[in-house]
Amino acid sequence: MVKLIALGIFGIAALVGGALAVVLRDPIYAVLSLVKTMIGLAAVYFILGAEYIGAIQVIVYAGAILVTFLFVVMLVNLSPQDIPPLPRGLNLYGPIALSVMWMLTLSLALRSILDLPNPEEVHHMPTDQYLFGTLPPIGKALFTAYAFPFELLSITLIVGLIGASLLVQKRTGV
Amino acid sequence: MKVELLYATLTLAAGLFSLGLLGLLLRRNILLAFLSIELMLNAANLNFLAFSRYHNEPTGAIFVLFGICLAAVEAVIGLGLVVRVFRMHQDLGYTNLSALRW
Repeated sequence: MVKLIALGIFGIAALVGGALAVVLRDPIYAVLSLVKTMIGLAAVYFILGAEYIGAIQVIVYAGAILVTFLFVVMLVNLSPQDIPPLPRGLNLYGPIALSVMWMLTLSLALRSILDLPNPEEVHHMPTDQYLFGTLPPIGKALFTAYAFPFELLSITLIVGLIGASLLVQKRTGV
Repeated sequence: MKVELLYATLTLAAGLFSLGLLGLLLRRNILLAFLSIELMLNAANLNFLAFSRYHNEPTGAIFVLFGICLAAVEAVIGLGLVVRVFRMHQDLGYTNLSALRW
């Protein structure tokens, strides 16, 4: 019950941050409110018992990815006047209706999950004995069953690095 | 983990995904569209982690790790494109992306 209340508080904080990121005119404020969403989500991860992923969420998402966004916002010198205002009429209500319908559809589809049994009954074991979310099970799986995808991921990072530096370099003589 | 907590988490993820979709449709700006995509990626991560916790398997958590890494790569490439398009057009409207065709 305590977990549910805490999840509600941080979840609503994350949702408010996301909503502000969608409606705010100034791109810097939009990015900063998305930082708020990421930190709220990290708190949700902590509540779910995944401390490691929560820490990674704060360090990588809030600390690295969104700061890169901030850098680019300042680099291209985007002021609020450059951002088109939210559209009016059908162009505004159409996407809102679509999103609300999507949200309702997902939530209604989730009702079937309520019929699932509690995992204690399935696995015949108290779930707290699994040390979920701590580093040992994640590391063990990462370097045994998922070693090949892990290496592929490093190749992807290198390719992204090279691609990004090729994309933004100034061409001379073209 | 109880089913109610799973349900609450999945509802939160659905809300975040809808907000991301709304932002992608409403904001006519490449940079803010990337922000919305980040929001949707996080909603997917949250779903992975909720089910991973429910079944007490680390597989979902590993998918989240991979997803975060890929989101970083996607952000870097996307922001490179943003800088490039801005240099060409001094503007970040969606239509400027048509310069990427050949």
